[in-house]
Amino acid sequence: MTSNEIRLNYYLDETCVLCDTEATSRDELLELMVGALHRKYKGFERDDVVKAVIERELQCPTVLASGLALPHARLAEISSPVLAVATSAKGIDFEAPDEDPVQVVVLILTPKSDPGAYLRLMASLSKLLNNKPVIKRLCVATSAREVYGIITEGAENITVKLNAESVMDCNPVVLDESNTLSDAIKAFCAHQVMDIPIVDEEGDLRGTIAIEDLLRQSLPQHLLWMEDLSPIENFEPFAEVLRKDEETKIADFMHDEYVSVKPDIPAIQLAKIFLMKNVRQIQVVDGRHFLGVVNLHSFNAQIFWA
Amino acid sequence: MHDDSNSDVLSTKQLIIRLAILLSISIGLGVGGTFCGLNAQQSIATSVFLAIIMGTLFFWSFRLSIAFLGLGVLIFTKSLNIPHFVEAAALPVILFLVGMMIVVGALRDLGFFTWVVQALISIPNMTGRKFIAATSIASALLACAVDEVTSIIFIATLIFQVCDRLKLNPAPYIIICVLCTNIGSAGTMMGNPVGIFIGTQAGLTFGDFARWAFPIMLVSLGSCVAVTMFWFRKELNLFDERLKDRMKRQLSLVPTVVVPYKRGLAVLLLTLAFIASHHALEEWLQLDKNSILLVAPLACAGVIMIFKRNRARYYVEHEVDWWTLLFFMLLFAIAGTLEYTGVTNIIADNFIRVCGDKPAILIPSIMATTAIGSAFVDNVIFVAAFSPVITALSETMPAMPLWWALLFGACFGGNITLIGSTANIVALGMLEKQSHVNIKFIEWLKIGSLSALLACMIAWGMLTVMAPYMPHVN
Repeated sequence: MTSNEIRLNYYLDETCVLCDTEATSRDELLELMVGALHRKYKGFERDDVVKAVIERELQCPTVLASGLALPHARLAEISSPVLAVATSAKGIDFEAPDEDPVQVVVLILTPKSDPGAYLRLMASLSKLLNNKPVIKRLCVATSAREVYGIITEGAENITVKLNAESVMDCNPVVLDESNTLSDAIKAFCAHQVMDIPIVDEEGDLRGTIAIEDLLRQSLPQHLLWMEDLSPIENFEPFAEVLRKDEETKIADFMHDEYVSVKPDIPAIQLAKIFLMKNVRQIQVVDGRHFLGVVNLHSFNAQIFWA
Repeated sequence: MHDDSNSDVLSTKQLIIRLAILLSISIGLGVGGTFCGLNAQQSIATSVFLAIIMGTLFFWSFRLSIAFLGLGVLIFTKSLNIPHFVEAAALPVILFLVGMMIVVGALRDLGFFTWVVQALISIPNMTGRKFIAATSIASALLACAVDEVTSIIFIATLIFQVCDRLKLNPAPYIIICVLCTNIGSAGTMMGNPVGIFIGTQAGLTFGDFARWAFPIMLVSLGSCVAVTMFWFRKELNLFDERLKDRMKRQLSLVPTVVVPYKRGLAVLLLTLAFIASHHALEEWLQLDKNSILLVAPLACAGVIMIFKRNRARYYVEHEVDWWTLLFFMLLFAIAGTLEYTGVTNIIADNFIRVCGDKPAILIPSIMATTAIGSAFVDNVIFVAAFSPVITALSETMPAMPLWWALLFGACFGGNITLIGSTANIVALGMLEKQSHVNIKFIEWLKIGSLSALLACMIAWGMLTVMAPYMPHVN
């Protein structure tokens, strides 16, 4: 097998598939999945791995797309990657902000000695599972064998490329051109995001707004000419923005110059764009049609924090 | 004048064609000159100067390279020597501009320009006409106090902000302000690099500018404000409607804050006072004419850099436009070669032969020639070329009206086309970047040439009336 090809059946055993699990919480499910892997492969401390995976989830949830999560951990004790899969028809709350309950969970444990293994598996799994029909098929599967079959059926044909499509967030916070400044303020505060793509009714990307734009609305250019604004103690500029937040349309202050890539752009090019263009978010588009975003934070987390 | 981006868009073929035109015209005219009585060095000096003119037309972004090469040619061919180069490079003028640029940087840091903008926004009982009239007059006066480019950068930013709030196309209001800024730049020797250059060449003082040039500028400015506001009356009506609507909803144009402006204002007033008092100080201290004038901005900049020592290096490295100043320096030197080789005397003789030696004819001739030339080529080039001619003319007639004609032609002529002055180019660049609006050449030409024509007519009339009262200068 070359580094660009992957066969999921090499890493997934049917005994590590939990079909329509009884677990009701994320932590309970992860314990069950790690337990299944422990029974099959041994060689690692079960409780330590559960703790490591949960800690990773707490820091940065691994919900990749609607209904799909890919929790993971890198272990010194194992020599090759292993997978466990669980499905849940009613869904499990993975405690990820703004995400629906997860119905398909793939736990990835990779050896610390092979950092690339995680990236290859993640790219392969996102390519396979990052579409709703497959998730639906997995949800309605009635046995571990059936789930195993769906996961591994096309595995031999999968050519792994870590690209924008495999690392992007398909379900980011977006706003419409007709939304107001007030909507933007709420979105920034409620979802704790730094950048928001703006799309139109047809799903085409029209522009972006960044959290700094709220400040820029308050502080016009002529105030920024001054080296030191500390003598100005009133909050009039901020109050002025709030006074008109219901009538200021996002279209009036969004940027129509944004950094966008096609979904097949390799991750290494994304890394270069993050570095050279000094952006936090890259828009993934097909023509003008908006597909998702790659955020610097989650990009780094996916690449480095396995 | 042109923007700096033409090197990016020129294809290799276009580059070669333009280079061929430049070389063939400049060398052709130089060779032609030898048949008209010019000696070899005069021909070379003329060729190099024409190359500079065409370089600014065809290769604006390469103008400095062409100036470097031109200087090399002049030195190699013995048309210019190093001592004369140093003398002709007008180093004091360059240092004056360096000093002013540093002072402007400090004024921005200290909130002076922010305060001006806030004051314009806070005009009581504001209407569209009142706002644009105040802004355009402020732009002209600010150009007098600092320089035209600095003025238009700050004023254009205000226009963009206001138009953004009112959802208006800023182009008409930008045109009004730029045209007024160019007019205003003739009011003092700080308004435009040609002002200080003419001042030093003619031995004119700050007081001379205040007494003779400033009133003419004011009347011309009045005409420019009136004609541009009439020309754009529909746009101003729309401005009024939008403004009223916004005021009804109790929304301001831009947030206003109390800006601590006193230190900035003090710096500006002290600098202006120092410059304004140069003549009295020079007489009192028995110094050469204009020696304090030329070092006053540098001295002020030095004081500023001591008080704001953490920004001193930033001011020198980023606030000073070294590229342009270097170009000016070489340009003055190359134009000086025309004088050094005697070309300007020949031009002066021919000028007198064609136009006569009566100021009534020479004033409009010089003004018209410089205005039309400045509409297409950097006005500093025309002034640098014409200065020695006027110096030659001054041997036989009172020269002061001719110097003012040169100044007004160079400054007002910048209004004619959208590439006529640096202020136009800077403002249009900002307009394109901020609002994605492009103004058509012909659209500008109509109002620009009308305002320039009116301003030049006023200047001509006033100079003719004032000429008998003017003192004799070199």
